[in-house]
Amino acid sequence: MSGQLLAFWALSFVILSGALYIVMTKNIMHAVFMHLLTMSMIAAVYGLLHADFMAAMQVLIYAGAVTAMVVFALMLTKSQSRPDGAGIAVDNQQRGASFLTAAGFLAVVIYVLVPQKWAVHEAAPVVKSDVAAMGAIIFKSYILPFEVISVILLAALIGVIVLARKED
Amino acid sequence: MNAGMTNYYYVVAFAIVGGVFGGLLLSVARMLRPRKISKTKLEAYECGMEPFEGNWTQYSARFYVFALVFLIFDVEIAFLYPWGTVFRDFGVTSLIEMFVFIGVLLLGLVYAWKKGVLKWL
Amino acid sequence: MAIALPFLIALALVIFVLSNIVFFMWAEFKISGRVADRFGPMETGRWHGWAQPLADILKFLNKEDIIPANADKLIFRVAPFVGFIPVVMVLAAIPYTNKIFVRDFDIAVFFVIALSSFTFVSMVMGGWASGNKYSLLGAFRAAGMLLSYELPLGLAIAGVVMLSATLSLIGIVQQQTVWNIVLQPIGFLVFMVAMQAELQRSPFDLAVAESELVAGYSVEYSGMRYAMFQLGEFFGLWALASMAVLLFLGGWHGPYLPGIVWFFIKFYGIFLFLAFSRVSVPRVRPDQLMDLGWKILLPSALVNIVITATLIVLVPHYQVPLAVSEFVILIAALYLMRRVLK
Repeated sequence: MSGQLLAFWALSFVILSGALYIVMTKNIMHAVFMHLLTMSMIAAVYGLLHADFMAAMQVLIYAGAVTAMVVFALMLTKSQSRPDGAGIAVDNQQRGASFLTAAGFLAVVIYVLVPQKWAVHEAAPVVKSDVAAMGAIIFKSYILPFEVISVILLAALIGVIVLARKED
Repeated sequence: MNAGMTNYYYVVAFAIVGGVFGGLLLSVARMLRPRKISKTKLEAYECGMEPFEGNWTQYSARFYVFALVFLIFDVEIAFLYPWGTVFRDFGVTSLIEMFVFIGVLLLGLVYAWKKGVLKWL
Repeated sequence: MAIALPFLIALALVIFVLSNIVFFMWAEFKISGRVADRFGPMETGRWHGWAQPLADILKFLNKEDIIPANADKLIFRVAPFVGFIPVVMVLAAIPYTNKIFVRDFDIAVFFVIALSSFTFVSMVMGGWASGNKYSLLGAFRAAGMLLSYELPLGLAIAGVVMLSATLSLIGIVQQQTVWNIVLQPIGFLVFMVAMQAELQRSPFDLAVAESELVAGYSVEYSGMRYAMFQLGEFFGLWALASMAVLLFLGGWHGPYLPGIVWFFIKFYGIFLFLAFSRVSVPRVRPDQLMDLGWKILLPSALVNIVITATLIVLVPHYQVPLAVSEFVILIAALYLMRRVLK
């Protein structure tokens, strides 16, 4: 078992257990910080695939900006949802229906994914510098999605401004 | 391990050394420092008053707006770097494309400015 | 041996940076003192207080480690490491000459920027885990400040990347036939201001110098944990000052002396500038700070990018028009700044 495969298994274990912890914990702030760790480990997985720029971008956007946003958004909630979980209703009467839905979804995923042939081999670097390659691809072939991204971001920005102004 | 992985190995090694070094500093401190527990020392510091109400108060939406505007411009910066590397070879077309991108987001910034959202009271 | 080599290099580099930091701290005490017409430390170590930083470190080692009863113990302990480890990782990407470097990353610049976004995370973790609503509020204000100044920092660096067409720091220095400060004066000024705000040095040290927020996010931290936050700040100073030298001041280029000597001359020049600026300018108000970041630095950096991009694509020999137009816009921006900041 090579070093890369070992690293991949270790990272996957951390990511999956982190994701599970986020969903199952009652302490919101712990969930946020575990989200931070999970995103950083995903960036490490990108690194294993030799996508340095993607890894750095993942860290920059998720660890830097999204964590900030989530923490500040959490702070807007009232003191009823205290960090130690007191006051949060974590149970409702729909356990049976939710279990069936989740089991159905899992069945679909297994049905689709298991018969695939997953080639497990080590990734080799494809290009010398993936930043230049990515730039070339974005600005030659994918220019329309790129401009649409700017419009989506603008929509998000204006949405937040409108909502935040009404509360003031 | 193949040749491309050495960079990542160095990054991980540096991270481990950083963590171990920090742990070392804390261990040395633990050996040297006193330990006298008293109830007053364990209370939160509020400039001499008794702390009340726990540590969870509601904050204004201003912080959230700043964080979101930061996120949006952060994504823009992340796209500026690959463009900055290749735009010389692609002529005026890619210049116009990126200016449209920056222009749209600049529009959002100006809107935020005019609506007074960027004021930190 | 090849397996252990990175660890040894990392350890050597950390110790080297630490010894430089000890010198920085002493130099800063003396400079602050002299500017204020006093001597600074004179007693510790008999000759001009050279042992003052060492005495400070010993003091930190001796303080009792008090974790408040309300604190979230796990995150309280983890927060200084979350600030410290990424800054040590950044040291791996910085070259000192084109022969003396750890590794040549292809995305060195972006690597440094991405990892410097962890400082704000450690602040928020520390502030929240302290169990004290004032430290939480202080952490949020500091986080707001850091976020606002990361954007101009990234944009100023993007201007340099456009000039060099590569993200590798060695490549950027090698492309500088003339120093980038001449071609990008706006970018350099934006970078210097944003750097001081990112490092939370005066005149931007709102996080730890408010009279109503005491020590902000680190008020419940004592002893070595607090020292780790400060060490993280100093390592960040090392990283960003090196970036300033490599990106704008031509790195190791210079006439007769060897490259490494020039690098450190420029590096200490930047540090001198930072130390002087700390004691010369009064602290800014929070709203002035946000105005400066969003309304002055961000538009200036964007204008810088637009001009640079236009001139590079449209004009074959872009150096002279670029330098001239940047200078003109700089004067105009300084004039406008007085009107916006009131």
